[in-house]
Amino acid sequence: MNEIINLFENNSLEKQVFDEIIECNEVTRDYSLKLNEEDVKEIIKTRNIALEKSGRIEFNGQIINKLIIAFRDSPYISQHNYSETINELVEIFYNYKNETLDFIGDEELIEIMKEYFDNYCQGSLELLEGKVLYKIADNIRNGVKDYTNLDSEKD
Amino acid sequence: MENRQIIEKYSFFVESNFSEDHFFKDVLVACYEKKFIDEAILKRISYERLNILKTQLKYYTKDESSSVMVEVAENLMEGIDYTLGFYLKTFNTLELIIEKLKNESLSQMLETGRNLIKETVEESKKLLEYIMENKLKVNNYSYDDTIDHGISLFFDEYEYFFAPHEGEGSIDYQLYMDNMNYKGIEYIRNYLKILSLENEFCSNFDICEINELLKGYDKRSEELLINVFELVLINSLGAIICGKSSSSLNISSADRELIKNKLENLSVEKLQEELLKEADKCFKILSIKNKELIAYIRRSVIKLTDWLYESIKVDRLETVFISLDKNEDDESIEYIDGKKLSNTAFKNLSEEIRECSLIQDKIKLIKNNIKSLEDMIDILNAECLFEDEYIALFKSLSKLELILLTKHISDLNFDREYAKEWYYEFKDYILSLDEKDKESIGEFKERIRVI
Repeated sequence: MNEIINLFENNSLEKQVFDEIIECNEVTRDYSLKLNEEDVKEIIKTRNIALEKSGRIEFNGQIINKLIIAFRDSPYISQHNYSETINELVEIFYNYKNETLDFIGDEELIEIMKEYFDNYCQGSLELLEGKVLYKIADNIRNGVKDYTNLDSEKD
Repeated sequence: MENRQIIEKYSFFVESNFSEDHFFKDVLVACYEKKFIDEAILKRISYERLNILKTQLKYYTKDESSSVMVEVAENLMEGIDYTLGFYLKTFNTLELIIEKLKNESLSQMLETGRNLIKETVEESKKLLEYIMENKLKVNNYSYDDTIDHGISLFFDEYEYFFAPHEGEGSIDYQLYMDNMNYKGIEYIRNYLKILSLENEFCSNFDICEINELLKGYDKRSEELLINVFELVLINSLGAIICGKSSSSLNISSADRELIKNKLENLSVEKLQEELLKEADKCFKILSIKNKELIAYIRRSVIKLTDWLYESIKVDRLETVFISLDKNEDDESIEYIDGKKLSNTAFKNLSEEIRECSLIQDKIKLIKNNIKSLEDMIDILNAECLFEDEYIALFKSLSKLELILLTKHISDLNFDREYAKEWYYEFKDYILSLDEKDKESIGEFKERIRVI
């Protein structure tokens, strides 16, 4: 495990991730959202801890960018909670990659998170993590076909 | 100077015991430590290896996920290393391997490795077909089941692209000299090659004699995980030592005495030498020309020497050189069990028995209602009888019923099965019978088969 992780970490992936997140500021400018260098470092730290905690390794570092771009137009995100929300979303994302048994791809998971965050959860990360994603993961584990349906019963 | 270097590399290769399952990594580490490859090459290889893993991860996740569980990545990496090792093992010298590591890109090697694996899968499938067509007609379930079904499962499940180092099939039949260090298709290829060699050797003998030899080894040899080749090889060597026709497998007590006299004073080394000489005679008499088979038999002879040496010392040659079991009266008896009671009927009966105060009434109920061995065992397990009542019931049973219960108890695995009170009572009852009855029950117990 260590060998693989070290090999991935040694090849300057982190530097690349850092630069790419900073570049996202260009895209989020229209929404008055900006991450400073400290925020980015914190988010990367969160990502690394989340990866380790979930026993996963990442072989390209685009998840944070994808989350930023997907959530940039959320009515529940503004500059004052921007960095904090991204941090939480990163943690939730990796946790639920495991909980959903890798059944759904990155894009789909981000899409689901965004959809429910903006509508059903009305910006509540607790609701997103503790109810919505919990139920979806449970649906997947139980083989429910319509797994995004929160009212579904076992097939 | 250059020659000396080459010789050193060659000798290093011979001395190095690279593992079969981590060949690529072992070679890389060894070459780097011995400075056959420098740091720049090692770095280049590590970089390429990681890029291959990244590509492999993309295929694995269908490019839908940028992260995976560490175990998944580790397993994919193991598969990559296995494929690279598979390719590098085709070179006989370390020098050639070093040349490849220096001059060929890892992705090229991986591609060639994959093609070699695919070819090997096809060759192995053909070999399995050959083995199926030419298998020995021996009475052994594990032999038949492994050849007819178990190995095919490997090919059904084998994933050469993502997990070439995995896959086992369902192999119960044990080879005399298996190499468990191999993995994936290498293991199957090796297993099939050796199985084919073992079959080739055994096919020199009369199949009836082989079956009698298996019976001689154990009356229930068809159910045992035994190796047919081992028994045949040992007895054929025994026959040659006794100066008998090499195609005969029978070894009598007198033959064992003769073998003992000839071998008992030899040291282990001399014994091995002697056995190898006898094996050479065997090759001549049976006209065995296949070099791989000859080498395999010689290795097998070396393996069995220590065991034979010890058996001679403790005078237990009858466990090594087996006498054929030609007893035709000794055929097995098949017992077809009677109809089982329904659950409700059984429950009502057991309650009725428990309510009886007299043992005679209990026995009457059992005798009139129980028509199958299974129900009888269930009743005995159901705590309907106590202490002396068991003996009273056993006394009322027929000889066949006693034989069936004896067989049931002897077939149980007491490590797992909770020993019931009636087992002890039954054992005491059987021990109390006269010698003739005990012997007869013991003999029939071996022959009876419950269907």
